[in-house]
Amino acid sequence: MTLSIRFHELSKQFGETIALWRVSEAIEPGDRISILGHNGAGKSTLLHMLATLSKPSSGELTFSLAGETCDDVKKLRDHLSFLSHEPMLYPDLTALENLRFINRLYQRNLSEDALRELLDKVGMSDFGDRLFRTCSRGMQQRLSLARALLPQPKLLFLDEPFSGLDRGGVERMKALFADDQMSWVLVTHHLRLGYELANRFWILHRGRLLHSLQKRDLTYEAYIKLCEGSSMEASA
Amino acid sequence: MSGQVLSVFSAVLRKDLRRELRSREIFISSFLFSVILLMVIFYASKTSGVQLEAMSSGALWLCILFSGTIGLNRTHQSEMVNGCYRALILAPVEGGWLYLAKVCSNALLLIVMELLLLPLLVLFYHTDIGKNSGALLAALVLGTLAFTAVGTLVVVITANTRMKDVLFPVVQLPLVVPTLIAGVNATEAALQGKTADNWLQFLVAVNVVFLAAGFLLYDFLLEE
Repeated sequence: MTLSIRFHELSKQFGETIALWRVSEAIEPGDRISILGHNGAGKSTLLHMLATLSKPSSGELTFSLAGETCDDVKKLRDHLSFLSHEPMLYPDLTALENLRFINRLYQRNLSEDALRELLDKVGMSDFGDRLFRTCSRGMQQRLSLARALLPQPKLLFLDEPFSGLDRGGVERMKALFADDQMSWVLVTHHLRLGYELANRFWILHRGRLLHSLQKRDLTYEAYIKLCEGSSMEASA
Repeated sequence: MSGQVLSVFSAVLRKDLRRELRSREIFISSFLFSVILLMVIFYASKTSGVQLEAMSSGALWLCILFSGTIGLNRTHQSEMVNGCYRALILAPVEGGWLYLAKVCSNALLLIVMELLLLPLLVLFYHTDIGKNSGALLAALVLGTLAFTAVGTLVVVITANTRMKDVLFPVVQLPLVVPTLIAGVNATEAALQGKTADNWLQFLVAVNVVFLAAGFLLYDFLLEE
């Protein structure tokens, strides 16, 4: 089953503040999109709307499942997942208990071995019985990734997934993002990783989409120039 | 009810109870608060010469009101930690089942607390809880369920407001007044060994109304 999203003149306002202004684009199966922009550019706002976590103030947002328009949010959510600043895991449950809960909440019926395998993929196989609140920031981020991957989404939304991760964690995450079965949209300030992993780039500035580019049309140097042109600081 | 729905319902219920069993954060604070409340009423009644036995059902429901309000607020706040409520929103399940599971876990914790308070009523208020224990149990279970059905709904409505800690009890109180009146009267009747059928039927009706409203509205309120 394929999932695609089209949006036209999408805007979001919080009171008088315009967070996003008339943004139009599309996400197709196989897309790996990095959204770049300085703080307050509207990256997370856009991500939240695409992940069905908030509604646009105006504009059209159309989801298609297997080529047919789908308005059923619950049905859509069965195919997408979200990794944000917040881990969305319970502090008083262990890593495995958290995953078991998500497994049943999403009705995935993964076996205990599959859950342990997932922990292994994010480098947390030795910490399955550890309470989430006793895990370090980096470990929490790895578990959060396991939580996001557990439902085997068609489309994954990632908001600063590399924060708190050590080099090993970043490498594991990169390997997991290489999965061809999954499209993803990544918000990051990490310009080098944003370029390395994605095949498309959206550059936002003050709520507007400045550039939408394919990787094949863009060298790393040109990409950095564009990003810096939108007042970003390269962390590469 | 399909197997999948039951699985989600039991997963949320088990998760909430496991968390509370592990941290005991909400239960202990609610229970200690109730004990203090019972003691204050006990000493106030002693000095004013009011018959203690006549105060017991009112005192018990005061404990349910205040401790329940604190407990519901804290349960919801613990769901906000780490953005856990977002995992619930994003899950491809009807919010109504999440609501029912939350009502059950909240009610279960409150009922356990009430059962622990009953011996204190016997000890300090000289209450005979055995005159019509079936009706007493029914009054507590139905009353608590109605109370948590309202509270679990209201706490979500007020959660995203700036003054949520103040607003929650202010909005909740008028809505739980019918439950409190019926609960106190049904408990009082049961403690006197009388039949409490009318009040119990009223509590069943309150439960049906609020549980149905919560089941239908929870998805919408959670997302807003």
